[in-house]
Amino acid sequence: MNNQKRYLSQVLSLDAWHDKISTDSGSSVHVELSFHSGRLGGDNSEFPFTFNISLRKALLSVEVEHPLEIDRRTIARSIPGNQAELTKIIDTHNVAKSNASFGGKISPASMHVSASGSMQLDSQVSQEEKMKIIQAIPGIIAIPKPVNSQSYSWELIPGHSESLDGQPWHPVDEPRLKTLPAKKKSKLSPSVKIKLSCLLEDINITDLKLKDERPIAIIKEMAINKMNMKAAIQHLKLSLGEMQLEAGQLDDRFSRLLIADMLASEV
Amino acid sequence: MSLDKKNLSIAYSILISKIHELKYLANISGRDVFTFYRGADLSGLDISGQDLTGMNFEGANIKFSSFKEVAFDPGAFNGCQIDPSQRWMTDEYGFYVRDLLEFDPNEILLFCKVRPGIIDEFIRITDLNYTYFSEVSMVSQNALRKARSGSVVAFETAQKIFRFISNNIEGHDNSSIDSFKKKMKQPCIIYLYGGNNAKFKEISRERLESLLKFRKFKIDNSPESPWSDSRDTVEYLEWAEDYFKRTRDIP
Repeated sequence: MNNQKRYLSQVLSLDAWHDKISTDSGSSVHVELSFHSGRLGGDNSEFPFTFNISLRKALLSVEVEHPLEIDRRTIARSIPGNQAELTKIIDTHNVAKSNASFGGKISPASMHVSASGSMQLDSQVSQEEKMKIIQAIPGIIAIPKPVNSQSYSWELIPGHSESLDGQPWHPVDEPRLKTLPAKKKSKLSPSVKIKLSCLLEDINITDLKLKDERPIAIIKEMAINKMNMKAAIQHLKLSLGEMQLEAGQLDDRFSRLLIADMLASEV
Repeated sequence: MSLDKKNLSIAYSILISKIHELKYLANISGRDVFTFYRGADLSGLDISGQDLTGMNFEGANIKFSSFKEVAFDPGAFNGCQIDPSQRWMTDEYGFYVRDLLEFDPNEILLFCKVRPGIIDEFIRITDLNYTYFSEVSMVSQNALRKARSGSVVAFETAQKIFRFISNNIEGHDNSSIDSFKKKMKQPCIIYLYGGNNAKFKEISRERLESLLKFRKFKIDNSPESPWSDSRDTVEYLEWAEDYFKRTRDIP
């Protein structure tokens, strides 16, 4: 990890552990992961503004070091586990994203309108209808993505909001996977690495506000143009991304940004 | 690099700029204007009348934004998140010349279509003739004709054509070269598979990457065999991937 603060890591907390590696039985790998939004710039005088930062999507990877191998029968299932339900949620997301009256944003209200096919506006969706969506759809959807015999990933997307918030799974009751029993005893335990990454477009910067140092009259005159705001936000994202490239160039749209990585401790 | 004083001050300059045009604002950043807005959120904006040539927006969210009378290069908005009224701004050319030149044709058997007009524009600017082009690039006149008209050609043919273009592009009149280079930088290639009495089908970048990943996995896990890493067809890889998923119980 380089000396520069990993600003993006402020939007999550990550911990991981696994059972003792042995030749008799496999080891469960547990990941405790929690997302929230962070506000940057408030306590730093170099920032001429403050803004909220959160993640629209993320990829969690578990990599076990050779000679360990993943026991594919023990991979944690998708959330929700039922494929039909998962497909339905993704389809509803796609409808919500095409809804101009909600600005293409995902929220309990836009999900309700998309799922029910109604023509309501945001203000017309009742609290009860929103709660039904929040209760029926998991806060975070987890989709397993196999990689190879030593690595597995889960794509994490919000169920009914724009950004990831909360815990996707119970860290103790829902281990990510188990490794196969080790083939031979060894003095040095092979490592289990956990990584969280995202694409540049998955960084969500919102609610950017200039710091309030000028008289009210001048602030009013300086209401920020929407085009300028979006261009400035893009510049900020690119700056954040430069700190955390996993590999490749920032102009490669498919480069992943590494937000957090750690070794799972053996317990 | 990073959120240092310089970058924060650039962001501030962008915020308070009195000119509200995307190209101008990207220039303030000092970054490569061609890639600046890739993956950006540009939804709900009125971008009418702006000059967006020389810029690529792949991955950007441009939904519900107005692009009336905008100047842009063909392909600049391919791969964007769009709303149905914006389909006219995109086309099927999803791969870049850079992708084409870096791809190893010995991995998967693929074919190409080139955006019509690109090769002809190069000939017009450089004043080379097709006979010379054909001889030096080692592409037959017939294959060159097919490529120019946007018909399906072998992958290696498209590679030879663009290697020739890349090697011969410098040293000509500046303004026409600049305009040509902008168009060539945008996605202008389609990848396809099939042939051999079957219809050619297009393949997306996402699908190709997942097949390449699976191919690598198959090679790494195959018993010793001199043919395990020979060139595969897309049809074979799709069958093998499906067979593997079914028999190894991969979710």
